[in-house]
Amino acid sequence: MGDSEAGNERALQLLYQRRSQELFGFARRLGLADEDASDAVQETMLRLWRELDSGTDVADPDAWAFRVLYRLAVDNHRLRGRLRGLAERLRPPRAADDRGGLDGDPARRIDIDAVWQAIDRLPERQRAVLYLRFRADLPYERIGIALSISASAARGHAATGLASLRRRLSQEDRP
Amino acid sequence: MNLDDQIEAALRGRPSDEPSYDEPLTALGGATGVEKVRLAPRAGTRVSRRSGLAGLAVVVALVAGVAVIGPRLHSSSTLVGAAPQQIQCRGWNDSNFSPDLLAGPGSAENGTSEAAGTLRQFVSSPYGSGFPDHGWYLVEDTSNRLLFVARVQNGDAPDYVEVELNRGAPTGGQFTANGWSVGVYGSCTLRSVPPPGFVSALWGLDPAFLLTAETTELHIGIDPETCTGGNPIPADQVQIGVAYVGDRIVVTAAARQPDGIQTCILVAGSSTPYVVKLAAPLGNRELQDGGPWPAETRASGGHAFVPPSPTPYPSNWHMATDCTGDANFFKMASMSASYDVYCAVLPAGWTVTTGGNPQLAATAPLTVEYDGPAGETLTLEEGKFGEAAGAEVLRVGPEIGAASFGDRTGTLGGSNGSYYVFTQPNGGAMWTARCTGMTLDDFKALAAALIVVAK
Repeated sequence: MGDSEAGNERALQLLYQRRSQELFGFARRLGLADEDASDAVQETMLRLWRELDSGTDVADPDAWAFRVLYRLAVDNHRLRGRLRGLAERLRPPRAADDRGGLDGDPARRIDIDAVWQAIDRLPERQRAVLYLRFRADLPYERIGIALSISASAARGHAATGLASLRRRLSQEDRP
Repeated sequence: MNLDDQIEAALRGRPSDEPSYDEPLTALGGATGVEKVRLAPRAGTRVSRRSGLAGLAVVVALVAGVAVIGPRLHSSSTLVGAAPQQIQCRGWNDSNFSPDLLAGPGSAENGTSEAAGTLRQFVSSPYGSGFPDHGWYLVEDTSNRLLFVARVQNGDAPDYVEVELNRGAPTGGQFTANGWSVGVYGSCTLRSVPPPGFVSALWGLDPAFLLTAETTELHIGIDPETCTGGNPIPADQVQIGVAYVGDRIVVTAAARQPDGIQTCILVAGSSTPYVVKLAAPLGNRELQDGGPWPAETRASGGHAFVPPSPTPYPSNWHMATDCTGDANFFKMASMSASYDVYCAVLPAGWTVTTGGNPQLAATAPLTVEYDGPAGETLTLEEGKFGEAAGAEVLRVGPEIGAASFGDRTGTLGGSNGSYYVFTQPNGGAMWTARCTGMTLDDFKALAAALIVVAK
């Protein structure tokens, strides 16, 4: 294995360690079922590996990976999986010990889930932008790269999505 | 903490329904020998990718219907007549229906029932964006479940979409109205119903074997419509049905689903080679693949069938000998592909460094790489990889504007010597070019000079 190849593999491993959960969550949030989301993440990494292996200098692997994953997830042929994923997410919650990423604060858990359930009802592009902005912590410029839109358009989608969330969550709080 | 802060804080947290992702990274180990990543089972016209079929299983099967494949038999017989065919949206095994239900114009959306009203509301809602507002057929009708199918025109090939309605309140999130909630909706690829435990498969004639009117053995390659980890399905896991219906011979294939989790990779030569014995010479009868619905013709009049191009003689068609590189390669690729295959016309000193198997162009995107005299590279990727797979050729870098890809217009981007141009999908295919070590002007000039190889 040459230095370049070893370096690429290391870079890929690091990206995977750092981002695999968010990539997986992103694919699920776009509607893929767990199995399909996992496939999509692995496929994304394979493509990145091939890209690096071919000598291409990928300046922003994070954005590149989210971009590939986004396109995989929105592929029309995945509509069925998207629905299946939605149905899975809407099943009754699992036991508490099977939940991940929570800090044990019941009030916060409710807030998080309520917000993400509201996210699921937003248009796909707004959903993707909000996920990448807050969950994946990407600035709008890199979100633009990931979604093939301008930074200002990403910012606009986020603003619109947040406004919708505010409206919906405010209504749900009303007695 | 105000509502905005609460929302943003929540968005930074992981929802409880998102499981921990602890899958190992398998991509690196799987990369060796992989030619293309497959996103979804391939569809469309097939051409077998085997050049040799040593050690084949020779099987002749008899079925009791055109499409419903019975137990695999090892004897030859002639089927007279055909049982009623059942079809389904691929992968959706709960709803089998007669293709007769799709005869004539559809108008189920005009019904006065609450279900028809729900369908109308759905297709006019944001959820139903892209779905037709008319032409719907009701193909399953039970007290608690309805399935509507409509034909849509997707490029040159007709396609279908489906909407399922379930009686009662939704489990959450779905579109609902009039006591019905929308379940599955999306594209519907119609397939003959495979036997229980089997998945549908498509097949193509092996071009290594001459097909004539005297042919009694069909050498085919079978592609199951499922992920197989890049491995051919063993021949004993395949069932073949042969039906003789009037002046048609309908061969329908199905394959057992491989055990375990399978990755979706496409490896050259992953078709399962098979020999189907006919009860009598092919003659002038049409030879059809009964897997897709309607059945697709693979041979006619004793000759392999090449689908007609919708634009048979576009103005920029050129002889393959005009391409830089191996003319035979481009000719074979163009003949195998149902889409336009472009090649580059490059100055002296450029060489084609990678071509792969040109017949792969029938079922997978075609990749051609050129090396320039000063270390430049130019890579073309073209074909039916659709929007999703097209992502693999996109480069990180700012979009600059528009540029020509031969006679097409595409999106131009990149920086610092690495540039790309990609077209929007057309008829399921898209075309991309990228370069390294070139100026923007040089790249634009080469991309604009790409030509279509005549079929």
